Amino acid sequence: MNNEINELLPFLIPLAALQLILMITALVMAIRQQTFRYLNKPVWVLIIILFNLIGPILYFVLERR
Amino acid sequence: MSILKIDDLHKSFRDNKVIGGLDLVVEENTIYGFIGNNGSGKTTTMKMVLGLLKQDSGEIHVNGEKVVFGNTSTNRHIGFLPDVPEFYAYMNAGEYLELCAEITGIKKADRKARIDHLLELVGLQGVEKRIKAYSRGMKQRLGIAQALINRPKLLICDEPTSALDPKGRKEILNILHQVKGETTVVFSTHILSDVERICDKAGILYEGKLVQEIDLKDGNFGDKGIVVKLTPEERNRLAGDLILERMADNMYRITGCTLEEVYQLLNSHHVYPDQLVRERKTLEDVYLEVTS
Amino acid sequence: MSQVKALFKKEAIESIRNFKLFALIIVFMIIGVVSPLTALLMPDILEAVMEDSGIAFELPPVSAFDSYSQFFSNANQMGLVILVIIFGSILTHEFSRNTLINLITKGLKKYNIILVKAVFAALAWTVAFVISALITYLYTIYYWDDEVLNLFWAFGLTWLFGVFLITLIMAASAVFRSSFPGVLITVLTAVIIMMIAGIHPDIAEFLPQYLIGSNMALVHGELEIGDIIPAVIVTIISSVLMIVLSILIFNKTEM
Repeated sequence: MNNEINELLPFLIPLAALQLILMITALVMAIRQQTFRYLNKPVWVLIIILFNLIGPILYFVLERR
Repeated sequence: MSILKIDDLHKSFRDNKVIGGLDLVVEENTIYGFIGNNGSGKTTTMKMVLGLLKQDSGEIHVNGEKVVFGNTSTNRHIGFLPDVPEFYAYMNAGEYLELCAEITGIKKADRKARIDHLLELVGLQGVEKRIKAYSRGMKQRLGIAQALINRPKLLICDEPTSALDPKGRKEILNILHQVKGETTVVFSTHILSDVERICDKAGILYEGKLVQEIDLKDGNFGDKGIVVKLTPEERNRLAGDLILERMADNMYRITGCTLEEVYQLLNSHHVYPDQLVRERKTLEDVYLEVTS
Repeated sequence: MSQVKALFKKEAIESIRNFKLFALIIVFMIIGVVSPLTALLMPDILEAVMEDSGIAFELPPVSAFDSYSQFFSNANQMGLVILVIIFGSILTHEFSRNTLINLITKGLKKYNIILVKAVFAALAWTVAFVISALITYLYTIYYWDDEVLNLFWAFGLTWLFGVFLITLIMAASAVFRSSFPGVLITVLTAVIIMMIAGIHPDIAEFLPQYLIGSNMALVHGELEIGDIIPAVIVTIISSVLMIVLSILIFNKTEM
């Protein structure tokens, strides 16, 4: 199993990095944002953390117009 | 020469007639106040002048050129400040004006000087923050700057002061007064004191027509009445011959008579009041008269 | 010309500062990585499922075809959905916030607005899609050395369909103006109508939808390039029509 994980690292590392970049960017922007068009800050932070990919995308599309 | 000429303009939205036979002429280098209640068709008229709305009938000429809906070429003579100007919130004032300058086709070499001049005129020089952090008043001032960028012959402002606090209003009126030498200003409003403060001429829009034009240069709108101070005994003597409208203790307004007639009547009744004041109409009086 | 340049710069600043370009590119990079990864993990997943159900049979070894198959299924579904979500409001948000009034009253031609927005969105889509396809391609040639056919064309089909969706967004926006949901529903309806029409085999090969159903058939060599040319031509003509339509509608729109 360890061997297999090592084999997958060339995929897992960039994948984790990309998702993290997306999530952290959205998170930082949500935390710095003062007024929200929909929902509120804690709910957005939860959505961004819980739903990777879709969470940050929803945030960018709905709140950063 | 007239910079703006509107002939027999008509516009309805579905069955709702908004403008019905509007005629209007604005002379060059004046400030023209376009007065009307909310919903009287001021914005609709302005949007037709800008070619943003299509009139049902009638003609509009700007600087002698006919306005055609959908063709924006007459807009090169016009600067427009909407009632609630909207900008791209992610830009700062300099970037926004740069965009506007490029779109109107100002040459690259002239852009910076023009933008700096306008930022200074509206007091936004050195403001680096993005437009999303602007107050209402700042947005309104940036709105004037963007409207003036193409050195328009005609500046149209839709209710530029309505949503502002007294300080913001004063700033906007000062700017409009300052640009009078460079451009003709037409602004719509329902705030009559603003009109009295800076306008040369005003037109009152009521039920889709221009019902009255007023020259504000001499500030004389005609007599409203004659106010006299009378004792109760004097009042009783006069009551049969004059319409006396009680204003305050012992103060009465006489209407419907010339000054000469009033003097003669008073003399014939041997009434010689302590006070006699010729009362002028205010703009508000004129406005209420023609819109009721 | 200076209007086009100014608007293009404005669109670029906008999509960079509101992070939409960034989000689009990251999502497509993720698709590029996930696709070969899923192909690689597929035997393990299938094995686990089969052990549970007690069925056992020999699995063919994972190949480059599985990697591309995963890529097209991800890009054609999630990828295109995200493209539409991100660029679906490119025109409607200008209507809903009245931001075009200032520019149009300065003599900005309405057709420039449509053209620049469509070209900008298409360009952003191209960048995101090329990066994504390139990532999958590089992983695939590193892990597998199967001979695949018509790969460039197969990628091109999905790209062209994305461009078609962008022109559909422009036309729907010109009709619905400030309604982003209106645009989403229109695009969805158009896709569903094409799917239903595609049930009839004679019509199917002329529909834009055919493009995103034929990627793997091209790669396997089951279809020749000539077979997809009708759908390609129909898609290009429809896209041009959509743009012409949006300009005609927009010119008549009262602001």
